[in-house]
Amino acid sequence: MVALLVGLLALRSVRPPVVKDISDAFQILNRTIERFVPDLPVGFTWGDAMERLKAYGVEVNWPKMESTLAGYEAFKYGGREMPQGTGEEAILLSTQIRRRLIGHRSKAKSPV
Amino acid sequence: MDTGVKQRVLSEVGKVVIGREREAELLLISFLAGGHVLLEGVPGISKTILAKSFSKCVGLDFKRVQFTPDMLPMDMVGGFVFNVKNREFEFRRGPVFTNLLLADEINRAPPKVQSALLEAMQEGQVTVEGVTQKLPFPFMVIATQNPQEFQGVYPLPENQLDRFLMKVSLSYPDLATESLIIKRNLSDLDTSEVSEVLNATELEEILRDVQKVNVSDEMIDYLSKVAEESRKEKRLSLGASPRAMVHLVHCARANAYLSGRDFATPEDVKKVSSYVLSHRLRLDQSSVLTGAVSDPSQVVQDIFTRVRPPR
Repeated sequence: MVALLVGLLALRSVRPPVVKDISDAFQILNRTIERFVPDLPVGFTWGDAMERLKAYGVEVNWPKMESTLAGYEAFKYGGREMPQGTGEEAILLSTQIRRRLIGHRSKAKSPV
Repeated sequence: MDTGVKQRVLSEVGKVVIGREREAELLLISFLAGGHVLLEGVPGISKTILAKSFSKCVGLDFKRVQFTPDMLPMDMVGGFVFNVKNREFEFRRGPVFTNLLLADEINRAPPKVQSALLEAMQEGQVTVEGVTQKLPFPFMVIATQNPQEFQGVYPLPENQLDRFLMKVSLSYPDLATESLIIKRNLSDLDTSEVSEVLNATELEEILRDVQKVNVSDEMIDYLSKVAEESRKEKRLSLGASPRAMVHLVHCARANAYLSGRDFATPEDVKKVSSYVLSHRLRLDQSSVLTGAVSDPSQVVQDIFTRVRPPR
């Protein structure tokens, strides 16, 4: 019963954070992955993370997420201009990770 | 960035070589990165036909040299011969004067021949009796060796291994692929089925585009950290050299180009890292004896799990 209450409270506390740009959104996503997907090693790449999250069954619009990621990577590694927008998909993914994997923090390493 | 190049090459090579898509892709990456490849595997697993088909579909001049213990450097690079007509010595070019040289069973050649190949691989030129001759551009060596041979072989020293951009180990095909290979070879099958999919102008343009693939400063720092980590690794007695890291960045660029991008990501580096680094690392003998490690590629993978890429 107590665990159920704690779980419900934790879910209620998952609110989309306020971000100023796409870079900010991906830094939040990065921290979320580091915190809630501990079975990913320190050296994970975005590709590793996306693959793992799909395997965990985290639900977002994956084609849209991949296109947002491609835009961010072009900015981050390709020196392009920062894409317009605030990286909604990345934030949505962060929120989904926290909702979906919150119970997995203690029993990490077992895919959903 | 042309993403169709990979598909065109793989589908042409696939007409005669079955189940070697990954290896063909690695050959293409090495070629675009301007490096040489060491193919390792037991006899009869399509090393030669893979090299021949690859050279044919990228429209390169191809020559094959079967290395033997009685070979001399001039058998490969050529030498001066006396021309009776004009009573002068003239240079007769050896098989190394080509775009793509298949050095079959390289470890069967004596060290003198192996080191003659070094200059060609490193400098793109050969020197015979003080006269330097430029090799055609592009120049790529695909060398093969059988890891099971111990008699009458001269294992490549570390400095020569370091000249190879990649070492690709070919294993036996799986059951389904093997059946397909047998079935396909019931009728005559040769590389004449492979068509040229790239012309010289296109090739030049592609090689130029690969050079333009952006590698950010953050990516360079990441690679330096990987190199440092390999040198601190206890299971290794020899870590990655600066040349290894330069080769790695070139391969990452080529991989990025083939993925249709004009910038390299940590994903590109990781994808080729085992093939570029493993053969240059020396395992620490005490770690091997205690069973802590047996395969350098495992160490490479471990290093990449510990180093945080720019994200």
